[in-house]
Order: sequence, then C-alpha cells, then structure tokens
Amino acid sequence: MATAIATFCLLIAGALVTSTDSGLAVPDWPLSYGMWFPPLVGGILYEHGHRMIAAAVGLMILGLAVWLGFVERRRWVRYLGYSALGAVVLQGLLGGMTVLFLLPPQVSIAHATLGPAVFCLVVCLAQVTAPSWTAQPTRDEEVRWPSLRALGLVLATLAALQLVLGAVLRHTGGGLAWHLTGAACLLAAWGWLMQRIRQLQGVRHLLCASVQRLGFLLVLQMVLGGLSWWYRAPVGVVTVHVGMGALVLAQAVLLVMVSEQAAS
Amino acid sequence: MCQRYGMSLLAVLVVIGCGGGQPQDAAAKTDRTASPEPAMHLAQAPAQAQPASGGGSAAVNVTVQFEGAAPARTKIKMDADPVCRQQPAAAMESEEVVVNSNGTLKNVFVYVKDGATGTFPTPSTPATLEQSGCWYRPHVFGLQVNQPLDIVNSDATLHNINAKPTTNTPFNIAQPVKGMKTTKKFAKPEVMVKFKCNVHPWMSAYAAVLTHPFFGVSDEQGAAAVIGLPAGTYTLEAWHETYGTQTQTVTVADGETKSVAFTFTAQ
Ligand SMILES: [Cu+2]
Repeated sequence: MATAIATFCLLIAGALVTSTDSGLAVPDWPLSYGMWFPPLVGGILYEHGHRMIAAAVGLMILGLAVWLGFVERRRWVRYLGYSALGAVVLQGLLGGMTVLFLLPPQVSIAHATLGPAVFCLVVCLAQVTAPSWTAQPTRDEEVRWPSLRALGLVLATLAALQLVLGAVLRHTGGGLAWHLTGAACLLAAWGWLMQRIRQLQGVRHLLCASVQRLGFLLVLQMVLGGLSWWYRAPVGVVTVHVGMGALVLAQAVLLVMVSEQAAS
Repeated sequence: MCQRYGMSLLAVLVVIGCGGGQPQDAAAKTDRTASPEPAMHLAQAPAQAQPASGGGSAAVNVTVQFEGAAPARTKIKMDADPVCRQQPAAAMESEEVVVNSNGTLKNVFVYVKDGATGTFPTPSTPATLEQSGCWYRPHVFGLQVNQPLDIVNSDATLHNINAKPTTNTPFNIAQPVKGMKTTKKFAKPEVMVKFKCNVHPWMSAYAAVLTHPFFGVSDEQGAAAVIGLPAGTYTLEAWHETYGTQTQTVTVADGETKSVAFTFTAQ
C-alpha cells in the first residue's frame, strides 16, 4: 500500500517535469551534473526530485518483489511482483533515454505510459495481498453476454489506450480529436457496465462502489481535461489530469479483478 | 443508490459542458507591469563578434520601426534560484518584444537571405553566448557556418544549454560551474536556432547560422547594419521572435550605402 502511494507521488513528480518543461534541466544521466545531489534550483528541483523519488520507489518495489518471493504462496502473485520490478527498471532506463536523447517523442510517450502501468501493477499487488482479498464472495449466476469481466476488460483497455493518447497529445501536441474520442468511448463503456451491474443482484454490493468510484474519476478527469484545454495547460491542472489518468486505469483494472473474483 | 449515480454524474458533465466559458489566455494572468520607459538591464550585451568582411564596399543601413502600442514587458521572477535572485538589478523584463524609446524595435535580426554568391571564409574568432545574471547575452545574434561559438557561464549557479535547431544537430550541455566555457559549431545554415535553459525557464536566446557575414541585429536605436556587400541585388529579411519575418529587395553599387526601413506592427 505504501509502495502504491509512493508510486503515485512519483507519477505526479514525473508529470510535473513535463508540465514545467524541466525534462532537460539536468543534461546528464544517471548522475545529475556529475553529482548525486545537485543544488535543487529552478527546473533541477523537478527533474532531480523526480529522479530521487524514482530511486526510492524503485527500491521499494525491489523490496516488495523480494519479500513476495520469500513469503507469497500464490505463484502468480510472485510473478506479478517480479513483473512490477522489471517494469520499474525498464521505466528508469526509458527515463534516462529521454534525457540522453533530448526528449524524442516516442521515448517520452513510452515513459509516460509505462509509468501508470507500473502504478497499476503496484495497486494490483496491494489489492491481492490485502487480507480482505482471500475472502470468497457470494457466487453469482453470470450468463449474459458480454460478461461483466469482458466489459471491465474493455473499459481497462480503453483507459490504457486513453493514457497513450494523452501522452501523445502532451508530447507532440497532436491527436486531440483521438483523445476526445477516447474520453467519449470510456464514458460509454462505463455507462454500459453501470447498466449491467444494476441488473445483477449478487455481486452488486461488491461492484457498485468500484464502478461509482470509476465514474466519479472519469467525470472529474473530463472536467480537468476541459480546464487544461480552455486555460492552455496551467501546470497544476495538467499535472493532476495526468495523475488522475493513472487512477482511472488502476480503478478500471481493480474493477476487472473484483468482477473476476465475484465470478469465481 | 447505484441506479441514480450514473444519471447524476452525467448531469454534472452536461452542466459543466454548458457552463464552459471563453478560453482565457494564460499569459494574461502573468504578472505584468506597464513600463513606458525601456527596461533597465544589468549590463550591455558583450561586444558581439563583428561579422567578418564580405569583401565588398557597399552597405545597407536598416532601421526597424514599430507601429502601434508596445506590449507591456513581463517581469521575470527569479525566485526559483537564490543565486539569480541576488543579481544587482533583479528587475529583469522579458525580451520577447523590446520597443525602444524612439519607437523602434530592438533584437530584430536582419540578414541577406538571397543574393550573396560565392564562398566566404569562416571566421576563426568565436561568437560568444554568455550566461550572466541568469540571462543570455546577447539575446539575438548571428554567426557563420562552422564558426566557433563560445558558450560561457559567468554565474555561480548551474545552467543547462539546450540548443534546439531543426536542421543542425541539437545538443543539451551542462555548465554547473562558474567560468565554464564550451565551444560549439553549427555545420549548416539555419535561421533561427533557439537556445533554452531548462533550469531557468525564462532564459532564451536565438542564433542565426549563415554562410556569409551579411547580417546585423537592431540595437537600442532600432538600427542594424549590413556591411561589406559587393555590388548587387539582395533580398533582405528581418526576423523577429514574436512578429515573424519580412523581406525587402535592395540594390547597391560599389561604395554605395543605402537606407532601408522595416516596420513591424503591434498585434
Ligand atoms: Cu540557466
């Protein structure tokens, strides 16, 4: 859980780097101006701060993966931990590449997309290792097509796609129409899922809260997105918009997991 | 509860969608002070390397006039870096548009765009871009292809120099220590190459890379001179970072000096 919160802080710090255009304030990597701790003046505060938080989160995820490796009985959870570790290492390397190759859009977009993915993995780890997770909920007869699980998967995929489109918009300035279309699709998918859940009895209590949270995040996210557009991307709003995007994805993935659990 | 939730969320969206007002210019919210007098500057730009002689005897004296209301210059807050804040005159103002007291426009790059034929020797004297007082000096300058460019840090703080050319090779270098000097060259002609410091986001400079020495930058009087021209007909271009470019054709004979005026209008 702590790792999840720290990872979210890291996402916000990373979003701030782009918002303040500080990505190249420190021209070298992995050291900063040849030092471990350069003076945190101006844009260096954002870029080096992001690096330090990243190092801390990387260590936390390493710790988590090692701990899971020793104590976790479920094999798939251990592998989830290892993949979080692998992803965070890859993310660090991508971050270094953005600096060394002067922010090529492809690398920046990959870096901005893998970040929320790492966050998502850590949130899932927090969820499945929580004590409440092992409790089996009531069974539910789920026969209609598409299944809740499939709808949830569609929603999560759309959320991930939307993150990529958002990153493209942010790092190239293009593809606004796609990003808006993505938002409409997400909202539609959410409405559909809401509709289905309303018709179910057994799993409702489990999923309802999850879906409501997701809906709330989606609407908030659209308001923030609108604000960033109208006010020409003020640092605070855009940064929160980017952070919320990761929350939407995590919430969507959690929803899939909960519906999976509900169906088992 | 689940039933109503979706509808109310949608209602919120609709209300917000309808209430969205006019787009606002974020720049309008920055702290601006109306200053009728030209802003005080820390020091004059370091003596710019004079363009090498082009071998001719004709010259064009350019005046860059400005029409309309001069936009107020944005005051730069240097709070982000204690070293910058300590500068003797912290009242630095943005150089995006500098209208001189005589109604002329400063920092307009004037150069021969077409008509310069033949090859011109590459000057061995370097052009200089100095970072002093957390400010680039000069703000706009020209140099020739493969002419050395000395980038100097005269500040007791860290700067990164992020050059963003599109036809030349971009670079981003670190100068963490006062007195550091890095020499760079640009291999291809390009108007303009933007320089940025990401540590101090207000720092920007523009360099024009040309194959010949026929260029000048308008000064505090709005004057720029293009000298050493062989007799001929030339297309002159005047470039300004906010107002874009304008061109004029001028014909000069040997030994002749002509006057040309460009006029940029407030938007
Ligand atoms: Cu600087």
